[in-house]
Amino acid sequence: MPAKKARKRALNVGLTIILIGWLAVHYLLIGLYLLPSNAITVLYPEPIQCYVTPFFNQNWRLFAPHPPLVNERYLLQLSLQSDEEADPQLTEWIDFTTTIRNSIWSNPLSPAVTRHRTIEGIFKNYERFIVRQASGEEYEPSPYDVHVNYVFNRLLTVLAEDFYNPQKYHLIAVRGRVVIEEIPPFSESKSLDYVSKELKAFTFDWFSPAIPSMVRIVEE
Amino acid sequence: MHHRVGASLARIMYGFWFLSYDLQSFEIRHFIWGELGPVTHDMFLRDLKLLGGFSLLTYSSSPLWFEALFFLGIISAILVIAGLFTHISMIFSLTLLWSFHTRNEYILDGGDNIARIIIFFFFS
Repeated sequence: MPAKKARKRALNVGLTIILIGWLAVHYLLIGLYLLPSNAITVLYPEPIQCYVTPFFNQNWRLFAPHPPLVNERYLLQLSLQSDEEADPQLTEWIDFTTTIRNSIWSNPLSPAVTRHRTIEGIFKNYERFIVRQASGEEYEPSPYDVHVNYVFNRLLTVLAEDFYNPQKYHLIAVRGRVVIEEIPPFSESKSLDYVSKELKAFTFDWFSPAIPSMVRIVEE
Repeated sequence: MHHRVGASLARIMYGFWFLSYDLQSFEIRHFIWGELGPVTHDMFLRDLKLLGGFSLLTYSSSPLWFEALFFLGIISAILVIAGLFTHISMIFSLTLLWSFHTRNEYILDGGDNIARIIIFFFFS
């Protein structure tokens, strides 16, 4: 009988330790996921994302209000080559997000909502990769980083298709830019004296146009 | 009686939620989930390999398979709203919604996940 009791006790203690351990890891990962962007989440996105999605993630800031402090606009620049000219020509910076946002404001149920979320999500993922890359000169891109690059490259290529005539030009390269504008604090939102701060902008590297089967070709 | 009314209202709301995904992005479905968008099928498979996840869209990159699942999603959402074959149409809707969510996770907001988790209570 005492042996049976001891076994039961050991089982209870074991299960309690496992449960406490799991809860500790769970709340640590959820905490890291919900905290504003920090060194751990930026440098090690894969384990946190793997655990949190699909059951535990929510990004409404429902329980930890974190209103946006900046507006981001995304721009594109294309390098185009025509058959008639020897040198490729650069387009102006094309602001494609303002048009999409205007569509959303005029109709919150329009397809522009999901289009904008996709573009914003991919840009933000790429921005996080740039931060990781800037963390040290010896930073080695992980397979996830390579993937983030492919998706960003493909997005720029797909978006670029709307801004040139493929019968007249060939797309040589495309690059993106993020323009960051600070949102005035609520107390200053109606003030005529409020002077907005200078815009910040980040320009990314040029990408050669991505083809759909790029990933398969590289992997093979 | 009241709990039945409540459950029916919740079912109808969920049906509209399922339907809203498909209808809102109908015009640009090939950009959001298809080969014309930023996440091609190859990239999607690579994404799953790296981060894990489940989606019926992994089984084929054929546009026919994509369209079949997309329209099956619309039909099952309508059945959920109408209250026809409720159990089976709910399971179909949820599986398809989950599959499309996984195909392009960028379009999700926090509410989607909460709603997805709550839906399991319908089956209990």
